[in-house]
Formats: sequence, C-alpha cells, structure tokens
Amino acid sequence: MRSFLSGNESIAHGSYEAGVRYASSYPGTPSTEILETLSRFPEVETEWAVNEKVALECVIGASLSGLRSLYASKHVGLNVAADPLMTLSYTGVNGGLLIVSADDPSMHSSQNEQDNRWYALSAKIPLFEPSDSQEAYELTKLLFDLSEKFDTPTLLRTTTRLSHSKCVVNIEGKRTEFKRLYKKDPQKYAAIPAYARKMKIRMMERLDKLRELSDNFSYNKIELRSKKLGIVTSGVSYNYVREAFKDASVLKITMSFPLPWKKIEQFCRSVDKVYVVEEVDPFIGEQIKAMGLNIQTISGSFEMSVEKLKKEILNEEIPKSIDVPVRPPVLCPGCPHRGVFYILHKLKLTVLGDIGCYSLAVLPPLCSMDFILCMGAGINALHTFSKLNNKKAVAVIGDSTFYHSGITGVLNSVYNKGTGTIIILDNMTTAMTGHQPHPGTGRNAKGGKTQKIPIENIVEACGVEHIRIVNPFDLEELKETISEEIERDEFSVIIARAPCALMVEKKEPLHINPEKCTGCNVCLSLDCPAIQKNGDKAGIISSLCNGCTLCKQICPFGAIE
Amino acid sequence: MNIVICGVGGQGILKAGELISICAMLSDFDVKKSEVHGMAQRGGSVITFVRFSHKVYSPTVPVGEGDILLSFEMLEALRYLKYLKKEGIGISSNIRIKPAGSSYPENIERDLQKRGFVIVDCKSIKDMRFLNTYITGFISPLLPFEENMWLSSIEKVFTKSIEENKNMFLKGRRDGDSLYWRRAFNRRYRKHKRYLSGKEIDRLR
Ligand SMILES: Cc1ncc(C[n+]2csc(CCOP(=O)(O)OP(=O)(O)O)c2C)c(N)n1
Repeated sequence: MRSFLSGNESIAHGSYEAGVRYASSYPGTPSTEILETLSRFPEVETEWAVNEKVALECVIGASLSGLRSLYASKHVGLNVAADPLMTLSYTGVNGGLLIVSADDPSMHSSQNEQDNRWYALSAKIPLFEPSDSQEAYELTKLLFDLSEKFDTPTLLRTTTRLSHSKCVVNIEGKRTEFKRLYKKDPQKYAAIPAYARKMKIRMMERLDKLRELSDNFSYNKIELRSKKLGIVTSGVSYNYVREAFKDASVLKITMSFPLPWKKIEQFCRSVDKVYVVEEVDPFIGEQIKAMGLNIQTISGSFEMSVEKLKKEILNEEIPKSIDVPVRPPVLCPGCPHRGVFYILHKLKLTVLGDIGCYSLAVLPPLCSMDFILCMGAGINALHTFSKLNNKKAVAVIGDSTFYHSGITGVLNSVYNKGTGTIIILDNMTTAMTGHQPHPGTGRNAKGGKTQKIPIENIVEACGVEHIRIVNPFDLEELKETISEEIERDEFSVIIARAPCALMVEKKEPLHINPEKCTGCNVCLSLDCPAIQKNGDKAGIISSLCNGCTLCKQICPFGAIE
Repeated sequence: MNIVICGVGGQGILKAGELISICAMLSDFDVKKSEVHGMAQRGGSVITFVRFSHKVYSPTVPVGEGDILLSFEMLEALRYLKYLKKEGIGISSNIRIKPAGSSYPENIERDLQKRGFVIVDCKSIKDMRFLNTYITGFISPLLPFEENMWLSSIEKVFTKSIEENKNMFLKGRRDGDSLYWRRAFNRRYRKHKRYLSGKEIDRLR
C-alpha cells in the first residue's frame, strides 16, 4: 500500500509488522510520534515511561521474557538510559530489541545536538542510519531479526529531517508474531564480574561477526558514476549529496557501525577525491582517516543541506536572508506559566530552570530564567547554589519533568538539608511535546484510565515539610507565597497548578478601555501575544485573548475590563 | 516542483503542506514534505517544504530553488524570500501578526508587491480555521492536479468540517484563477511554464 509517512510513522509501522509486542518511550522532539503511532495498534502494548532509563529497562524486561520490544527517545534521552544500555550490550537479548535514537542537528527543539552514533561505538552494538521513510520502514523490520540472530540490541539513529519529513512509503501491513521462550541462564543475563568477563569475550566475538555483516550488507551500497568525485555519506545526507552532485560516485553507508571496511577501501581506490558527508560529527570520517585513507570530512555543526555541500565543495556562496525582526515562539495567551515568571522577574530572584514550554521565559521581556541544562538539573543546582552561598534563589520545574527526574532531587535536598525553594509548574500535562499524559494525569499512553499520583503526595513522602499549592492566575497570592518561602531557611516546595491553556475552554476575552489606557506599557511586560500596542495605547486581540486576567491584575489604571 | 509554505505557528500551515503533498501523491508523483515540530509551533515562525517530481531526494528546498513561496503572513514572506527562485512566484496573505518585542515593518505590503508578490486578501475570511484551505485553493490553479484529486485529498487530510473546507478551497481556487492569474499574471506564468502541459506533467511523473 502506498502511504505518505514520516520517518517516525514508518518506524512504528515497521515495528508493528516485525511483531513488536512492547514499546516504551518518554516524549521528546523529534522522536515522540513513534510511540504515538504505535499506540494505535491494539496488538502492541505501549507505555509512556516516567523517564528514558525506566523505558529502556522495561523494554529489556520484555525482551528477556522473549518478546520483541522497542525503545525510542530523542538523543538526550539515551543519555538518561545509557547505564542499562552499556551492560545490555554484554548480556545481549532474548526477544529482538531495537533502540531508536532521534538526534536533532541544528537543535530545532533541543538543548544540544550531540551525535548518538558514538553510543554504538562505545557500547559495541550495530548501528543503522536510514536515509528516508521507506528505508526506515524496511530497516526497522530487519533489525529485529538481526538483533535475535546476533544476540545484540540494535541501534537505529535518525535525525530531525528524517523523523519529521514525510515521503511515499510502500508498506505491507502484515504482522508476524514472534515469541521466544525464556530459559534461566544467569551466565548470560546476570552481569556479576565473573560472568561479565565472559560476556565481554562473547561481545568482542560478536563484533567480528558484525564487521563481516557490514561488508556484505546490501544497504551499504557503492554507486559508481564519475571517477573524479566520490562521496561517502550516511542517513539523510545521502539525499543532499544526490541532489547537489548528480554525477558523483557515492558510497551510501547505512550500517555505520561497524563500518564496511572492504567497501570503503574499494570505493576510495576507485575515485580520485573523496569527501565524507554526515550529520553531525565526523563519526565515519574520523574512522576512515584513522585507517590511513586520504579523505576530507564535511560535518561538524548543524544540519546538512544542499547549500552547505555546494559551499564546501564548490565554494558557492549561500544567499543571505533579508533582515527582518525575529519571531521567537512565545508562551500562549492564558498560559499558567506566565504569571509565575512575571512575579519571579519582579522579585529579581535568581531562577535555576529546567526544560519545557516554560523555558521560553528565558527570553525578553520576561527574562526570568538564568540557568537551563538538562531535565532535573535545576533542583540539584539550586541545592548547592543556595546552601553554600546563602543566596536567595529558586528552582522551577514542570510537572512532567518533575516525574521524569525531579523526585530524586527533592529527596536529595531534604536528606542533605537544602535551603532552597522549588516551584513546580503543574499544568497537568507534558505540553511542549504535544500533551502526552504522565503519572499525574490519570491517563496512560493508550488513552486508558489509570491511577493518578499527585505531586504533593510525592513531595510529602520525600520528607518536605513546607508544601504550598497556589493558583498561578492569582498574582497577589503568587507573590506572597514566593516571598514567604524564600525567606525560610529550610527546603520548601510551591506547586503552581492550573491546566495548560490549550486543554481548557477559552474564557471570555477582556478588552482595554481606551479612555483609561495611558499607554504606560505595563501590560506589555507580560509578553502576552494577545496584547499589542495600537499607536499610543494598548489593545487586546479578542480572538487570541484567553481571559486569564493577569493583565487586568497589573494594569495600574484599571483600564482592562 | 518546489513549494515553500510559511507563516506563524497556529495558522494551519502544516495542514496546507499535507494537503498539497497528499494531492501530489494521489496524482502519482514522488513527494517529500519536511517540517519541524516542537517549540516552533508556539506562535513562532513556521516553514514547511513540499517537493514533488518523478524522483525527489532532498526533503528540504535548497535556498533559491523554490518555484512557489506561499506565505500566510507578510513578515514571514520577507523572512523566507531567499528560498524563492528569481523567476518563482511569491504569494502572501495580507495578514500581519506582530512579533513579540519588535515593531512591524511599515509598508510591507507595498514592499512585497514591488518584489512581485501577489497579495491575497484574507481579512474577509470569517473563520480563520479555513485560511489554509482557502489559500491552498488560491494557488491550486498553478499546480498540475485535477480538481477531484484536490477534493479527495481534503477528505483524507481533514477529519472535521470537510464540506466547509471543500467550499473554502473552491472559493480560493476561483478567486485565484480569475482575479490574479488571468488579469495580471497569466502571461508571465505561461512564459515560465507555470501552467504545465499534459506532456510536461508526464515528464515530471
Ligand atoms: C532526557 C530528556 N528527555 C526528553 C526531553 C524533551 N523534553 C524536555 S522537557 C519535557 C517535558 C515538558 O513537560 P513539562 O515539564 O510538564 O513542562 P510543560 O512543557 O508542560 O510546560 C520534554 C518531553 C529532554 N529535553 N530531555
């Protein structure tokens, strides 16, 4: 059947057909749609895990029991799951196990653009890079077989332009069920040092077999055209190469660890000049250089493109854009995060932040976040930042992020007598990645009902003595609560709770009385998209206004009704 | 054929790209569409690429190779102008959405017109949910797809208000065909083979 599918959807369809029984993930752009698509198939048990380490370990359990299983996350997610990954390579698998890492070159929605292919090299597991949705679909199916045949987890690495580009894919739609038996075998599955040493030896033998596979792998393909220019490439970059240099000879590497050494040597011998083109790091390029072959690498930072290739190889200039005002994303009208950041800005506090929609509060005019690193980091950085320096500072963290990696931080702060205040921005969803449920929502990945685990119960169980729950649309209450809590010499938690503006009915829009408006601009400091300056005075775009009343609360002239 | 669609997050740009892509697929072309999800949709600047031909490689349109730049908002038309070929067709709605924290360039409509843009009056559209089908209808006479293909694509892409979407699409298609293309631009487009002949379509396929 001819379908129009994104890379993510193709991976889901491929997994379904390969008989995957279980899949787990934590949301993260650009990987989210893999699990969302897979959730629609009743034969597949899918779960949003609280974080990626949990997800991978659940996937490993399913594989151990003999079922084919899939893990998917964004690149940084695999950092969180790196601990199980590294030893999983030692134990190997029972049911076929595929790990999908969706990398984000150019950081369209990420805090870094790390290249996760290094994980394959480090963990010594086979790595594959599809170039389009069709190939992603075919490889996904194949990789479960390879995983079982070679007794190894397999790693499929995609990048944003594969994950989120759609193309025409021919899918079969037929599912085959697989189930292996579980046999007790601690020498294979229990990594105590004595057994792990033997596992290591088996792992190195497996690597030799995988090297052979790579040289015979049909998706690693030499396309000989002109002798003058040869390009070794992988993943989406293959498309840019084919488009920019139609006559160039190409070695398309699809299995990029271990590399197909014989094919690479053969290719480099058959052309005069060789470039290695890849997203992001020179992962393939550096390995080829280490072989002593004379090549030039084109990689390093940001996405590949036809323009970039032409600039590097032909020295063609990339046309510049016209200078126009930037249009950064903003918090939505009626967003419950806005009031908190307005107050934090007013109180001039140092704010150690975290990742989510609320990261937008870094930008002007709110400018109220000073630090963002990775999920969960704000709470722990606050612990030492405030305790060792007696600084008045707070940490903010979203609800989904709290369940993901905030709980251990709270526990640690209580145990080690922290003095800071953390504000949990509970908008009752994982908003940034498209409203996935989490343990506080009472819903699961399949849309079913499940137990709700409120944040206040968790922080209380962690030993926090000062817990306050506030309405983030009441600025007075917010200001008082935050001011009181930061004066305390003990660790405290404020939960600012109101549902994401995109999940609730819009309230009556407000309007500005031009008679009373003096054009003082105070309302503009909220950075609400619904408020705009018309000439001297402010006005509210009623189609955008959500009636949250924050502007009404701060207008010094009572002009907003 | 390279189409670049841009605008502000929330205007329905991604759906417009999907509609054109599905129509191209149903019309037996190879198609690729590329967009970026995540932060970009929170009222930020959004861009989608749609490419169709007998074989498409790059999922993105290289700078300077867009045949059509379709913008849902005037400032965004200027921002992504670099994607348009010299002889490409620029079309923009007359909607202006002020970016947070900066002022809106004066005389932008005149500026775009001077650069050869067709400005589509979209302010009379009562329900902005249909902006995308209207504007897609508006450029549809430039694309080598049959009307019934468009209509069945609408059925595939939209789950709600299918009849209204079809009507808005057809209204856009009529307005596009009569008002601008016939009167002012037809000659220029014929010269650049915008209206593809049957043979040319076959070659593309
Ligand atoms: C390890 C890791 N996994 C996933 C992500 C992607 N991500 C960042 S924050 C976040 C959750 C946002 O939800 P929440 O904390 O509830 O804030 P909201 O967007 O709802 O304001 C996700 C999924 C990431 N950056 N790092």
